[in-house]
Amino acid sequence: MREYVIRRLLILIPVFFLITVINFVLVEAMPGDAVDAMIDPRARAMLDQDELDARRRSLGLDKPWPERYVTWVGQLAQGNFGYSFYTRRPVLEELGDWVLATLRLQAVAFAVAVVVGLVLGVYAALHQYSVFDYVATLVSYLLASVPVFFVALAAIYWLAVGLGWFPTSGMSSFGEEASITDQLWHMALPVLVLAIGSWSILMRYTRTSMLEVLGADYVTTASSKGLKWHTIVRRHALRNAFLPLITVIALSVPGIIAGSVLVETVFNWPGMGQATVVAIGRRDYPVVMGVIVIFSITVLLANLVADIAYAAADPRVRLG
Amino acid sequence: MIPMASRIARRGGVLLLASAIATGSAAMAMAAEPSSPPPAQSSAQPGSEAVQGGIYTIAYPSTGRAWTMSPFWEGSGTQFMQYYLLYDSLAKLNFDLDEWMPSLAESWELAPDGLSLTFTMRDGVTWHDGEPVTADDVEYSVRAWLMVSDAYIDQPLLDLLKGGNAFREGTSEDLGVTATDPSTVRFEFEAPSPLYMDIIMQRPMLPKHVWEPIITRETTLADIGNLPVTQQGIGTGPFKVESFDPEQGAQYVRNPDYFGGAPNLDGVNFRLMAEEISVAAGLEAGEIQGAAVWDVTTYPRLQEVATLNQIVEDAVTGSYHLIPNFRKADSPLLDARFRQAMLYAIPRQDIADTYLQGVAEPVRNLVYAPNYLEGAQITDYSYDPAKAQELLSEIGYDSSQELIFLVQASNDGPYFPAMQQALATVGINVRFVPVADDAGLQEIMRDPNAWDLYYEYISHGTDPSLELSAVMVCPGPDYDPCAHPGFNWTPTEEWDRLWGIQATELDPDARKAAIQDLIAIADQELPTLPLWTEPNVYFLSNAVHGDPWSIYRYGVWSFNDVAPQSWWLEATP
Repeated sequence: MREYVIRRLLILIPVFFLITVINFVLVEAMPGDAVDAMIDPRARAMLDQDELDARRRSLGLDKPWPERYVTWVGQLAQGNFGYSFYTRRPVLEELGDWVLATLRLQAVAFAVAVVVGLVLGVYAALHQYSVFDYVATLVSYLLASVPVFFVALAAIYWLAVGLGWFPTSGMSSFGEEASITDQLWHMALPVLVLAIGSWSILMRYTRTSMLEVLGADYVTTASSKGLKWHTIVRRHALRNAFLPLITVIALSVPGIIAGSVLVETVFNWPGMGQATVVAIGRRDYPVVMGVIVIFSITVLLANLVADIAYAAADPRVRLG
Repeated sequence: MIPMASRIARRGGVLLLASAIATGSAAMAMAAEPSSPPPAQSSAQPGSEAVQGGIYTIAYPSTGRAWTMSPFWEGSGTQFMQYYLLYDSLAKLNFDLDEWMPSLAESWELAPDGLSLTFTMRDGVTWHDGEPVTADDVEYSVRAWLMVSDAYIDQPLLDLLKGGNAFREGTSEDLGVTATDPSTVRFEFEAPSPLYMDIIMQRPMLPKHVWEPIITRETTLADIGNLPVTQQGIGTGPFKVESFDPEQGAQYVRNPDYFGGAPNLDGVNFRLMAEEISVAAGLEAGEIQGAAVWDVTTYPRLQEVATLNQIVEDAVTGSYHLIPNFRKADSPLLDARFRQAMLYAIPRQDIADTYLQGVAEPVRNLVYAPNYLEGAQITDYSYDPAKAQELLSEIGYDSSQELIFLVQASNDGPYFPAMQQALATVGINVRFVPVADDAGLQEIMRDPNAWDLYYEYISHGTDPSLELSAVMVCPGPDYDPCAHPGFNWTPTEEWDRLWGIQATELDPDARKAAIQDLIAIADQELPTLPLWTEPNVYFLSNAVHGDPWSIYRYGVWSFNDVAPQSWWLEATP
């Protein structure tokens, strides 16, 4: 098992660097640069080319991108994510609060998606062809196929504006001491929106997986031996049905991260998603790369955890 | 000039003008028309009495630039709000922008030769930290504005102040502003200017005791933005900073010692929001009590909300124009007749009435100010496709070519398909190319052959020199140092002569005559193709009152009488 984990970790290293190279090139390919974005255009009109070049030099933008990438990686290896072009603060300091806000949103959304998806999926499988099964199937297809921004807007206008059950945006009531209740109240709608796509998909997979297992010979055997149905489900079916879901659950992490960019923007949630949009607009390359690094590591770790969990659950995997 | 920075930051447009004036000069009797009354007044009702207390929550939709409490101009729309709440200048325009009113100065006097201006300070005014405001603070403020190396400074200010350019460049420490005693400050000018007040009153006065230990010639905006003292926003205004989060917003509390009278409100919350849809939803849900809304598609829905009033400001801030690329070789746009044909071919009135929800109106010239257009030689470029075709035929236009029309994505209005169809009807085929943001636009525009037209917002102010200066930013084909390569129509000698007259002429009638001649040249040459206004539209809770409207009025650069101390909220049952 230890060797397996080490092997998986070693594979992640080149994957991580490949991700950063691709993203560095993509960021580089964006039209314009930080000097274009940073200087008030009227102020730029009063600067001659030498001054603009000097500003580019001061940000290191005069160097070719491979050289800048190597410098950036060198700094990263020392735990230095660089400095924001815009605020000049260290990127990690800049991202600090945003990371926590995003993690809070994503972690809760992930937990909600997993719990709701698994419970509803199992229940639908156990009540195949019931009214619940049909309704759940229909709703899950619908929610999984509707873009997250549409769900967000619908939720805002229906649940927040129309019914007044939730605030329309923000992380807490503005200008007031943020109590736990207030924070949960503000979190409810973005979490719901962020989780909805993942739980719908997860529910479908869980239902299918459970139905497969419930139709397996060993379940029939167990049943014929006189075991109680809930014992069969609990002891035999669930564990085997959940095995393939480990991958599905891990793969829902990138979806939640991608979704959070939109959800944070629409709900005015001051997290990494919103920070990404702002940093891209400013061509603040160090911050953009900082966000990419954090998101990449999160996704890679989610996959690693999935692999390990899968291996732990099924010893045949690590032999492969 | 009034580069409408907040709007531009939001809409992502490129600011066009490098030198101009902010607002109208009452001294020269060049006032704009008073702002139109709103459809549903939110101002204090006759007989109603201001209620003390309450927090007024305002929103501003923007993600483009970080919010800072810095008093040094960074091009952030949120700074307009801060200026009105936290700071003052020596004088301010009245709300109708046609008369200068005392503020930190109680009076002022222009020398007969127009070369110096002396202000007498108001007694007993204090900074938010309790220190007295003196003439020394004024002298220091002007120096500080010019010392921050990357802060935008209007060229007219540098040209107006004696020694302004040399001081800015760091080659001299002499500057034409002197505190002659604790209550008197004298400005000395290089040459007379009809717009001296407009030029000086665009920046807030700063406390010398706070900033002097900080500001050097090496100081940059980023340095200032990171300082704790910056976030305290120490000014003289009706509100003080209570708390500040650059990504979320700020809380302000009343300044009971405000020299203009203690505010009615206990405080103002100003929320920064990433999306206009969030602002609209917040207004509808009652979480926000006031906001400017630019997305015209949300107007019908918000107009139906019984608790909201819509306020349409007069178009003092700016209009949209098509900017031809004069640098592109062999472009049909180099022929003035082609530009005229384009203008005839676009149904501007229909677009303003329908796609722009009736809040916009077609503009007639590069200059907007109605009192200058009146009596000027103006062609009626109303929709006339036959006339457009006639002009195109006259120049032998080849309809098989396609013009590249750059549009910043945030300006991507619902009317572009209508424009495209209308132009195609007369044989002008255009392809719209959306560009994500300002930085992307700058890069594309560097290639003179990559585009033909650009859709841009031009600020008005109330003095025509603002718009007229737009065509002088980048005269000729040597565009490299210029911010906006589109603005390279080469002014004629006659234009330059008239421009010189309007810049220094103190006689209002003579200046108006020169400006009207410039208007006539612009009318025929069409250095820009004027399209339509898009005035600021605010939605306010009908519980909000003020004198007159309780709006944050961004886009008018000179300090003016927004009067946040007069704002009040109806007590909710």
